[in-house]
Amino acid sequence: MSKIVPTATEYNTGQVVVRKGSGTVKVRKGQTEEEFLEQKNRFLERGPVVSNAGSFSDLLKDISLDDRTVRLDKLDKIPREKIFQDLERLYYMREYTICQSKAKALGAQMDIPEGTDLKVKKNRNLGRIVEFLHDLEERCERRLMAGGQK
Amino acid sequence: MYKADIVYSPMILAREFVRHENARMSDFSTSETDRPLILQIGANNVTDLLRMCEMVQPYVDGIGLNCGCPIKDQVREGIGAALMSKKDLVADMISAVKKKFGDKLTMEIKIRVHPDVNETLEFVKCAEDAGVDFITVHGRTKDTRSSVACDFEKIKLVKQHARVPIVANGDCRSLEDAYRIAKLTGCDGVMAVRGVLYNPGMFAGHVKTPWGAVERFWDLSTNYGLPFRLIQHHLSCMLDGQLLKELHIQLNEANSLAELLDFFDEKFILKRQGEEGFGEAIDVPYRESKVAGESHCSLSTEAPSIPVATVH
Repeated sequence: MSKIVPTATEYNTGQVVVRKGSGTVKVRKGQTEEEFLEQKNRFLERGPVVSNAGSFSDLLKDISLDDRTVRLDKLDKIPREKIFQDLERLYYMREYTICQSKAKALGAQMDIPEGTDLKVKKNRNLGRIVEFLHDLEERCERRLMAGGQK
Repeated sequence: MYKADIVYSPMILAREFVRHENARMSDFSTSETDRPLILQIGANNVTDLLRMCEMVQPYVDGIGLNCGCPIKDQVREGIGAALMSKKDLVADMISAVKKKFGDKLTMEIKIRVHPDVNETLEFVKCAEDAGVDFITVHGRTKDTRSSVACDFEKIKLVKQHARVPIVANGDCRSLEDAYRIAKLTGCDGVMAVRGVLYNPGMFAGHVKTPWGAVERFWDLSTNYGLPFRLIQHHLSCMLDGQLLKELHIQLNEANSLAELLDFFDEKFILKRQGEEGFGEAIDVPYRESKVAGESHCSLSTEAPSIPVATVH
């Protein structure tokens, strides 16, 4: 084991040996210099997420009922969550009409085959997306009925 | 806004950060007002730490190596409080960072005290010899429960022997506490963690979270895209002890951000950016006067400033 325990001053690959709760010993894999450089360059190209006041994204700007380019069901988690957060920001800003129309458009673009059971395990994620959009649409409707638009 | 001199990021694991883009996107976001910013790092080897520093150095003012986190899962991985028994490794990590970055990157370590304080003094000397810029000392051992009071005598002893600035940490829940701890320990600054979580306005002298901070938090967190459960947790802490119990339960039971916002708009007057008086209220502005809860007061003392640090 001593061969793979890094000596702290050595510029090694970061491979370390740890003891799990069960008592078993586990080797945490290292990272080669090439792998690191690829990650580093990827990070430095864009830098970290910088959030400043007014940095509300334009992701939703072009989404309309006619547009079929943004498919929430096909998006990765991070961009999908970003769209959800932008919708929530619209709701917070009391932009209920816009929020409702965007949520409706995003729901319509998903193209879910009729009869799809959204409760089964494989469709659970899809179910969550549908539920989120539906809930937001309804809440916007209630706010608009109550005259809550800013 | 609320007079914190330094802000810290949550602990970010170096191993994941240098290997996975999704971990970087989820764990590290910043803003131009987050300054001076110390990025708190959890690491168990020199390589991961150095690589992480290489990546984040342009975006932060300093890094803090966490040697105090007592969470078992982290300790088993050799991270956090596990480092309290590995002073040579910690010294190697510090000297590697300082050798590579020098004054371009401030290096702090956050430690806990040992049952035998002499061990802590030895640990601190080792870190100083390796080139650490300042040290934050939490006055509990890694096995002390948070319900047991912080040992400020040990922190005082560390301060008396140290050559670098020492920041005291533990049981700081108000500005008065900060001054008391500074006086008691002779430290160069005081860090608050839970205190600030429950009352972000504490360093400005507020005895409870001012409502204006709640309004600002809503505005910033929805602008930045903080995940719903984190927003809910922060609001729950900020309003702890200020709401009637049933309202606090309702706040915690919301299942979506829109539901939580409906609750706030229904029960309280929650102003938005641009509305008159936004971010200025102190007391909770209930919509129904009959449910108005506890009274509020805020300190308006013009006390001399001491350096204070806060974790967010």
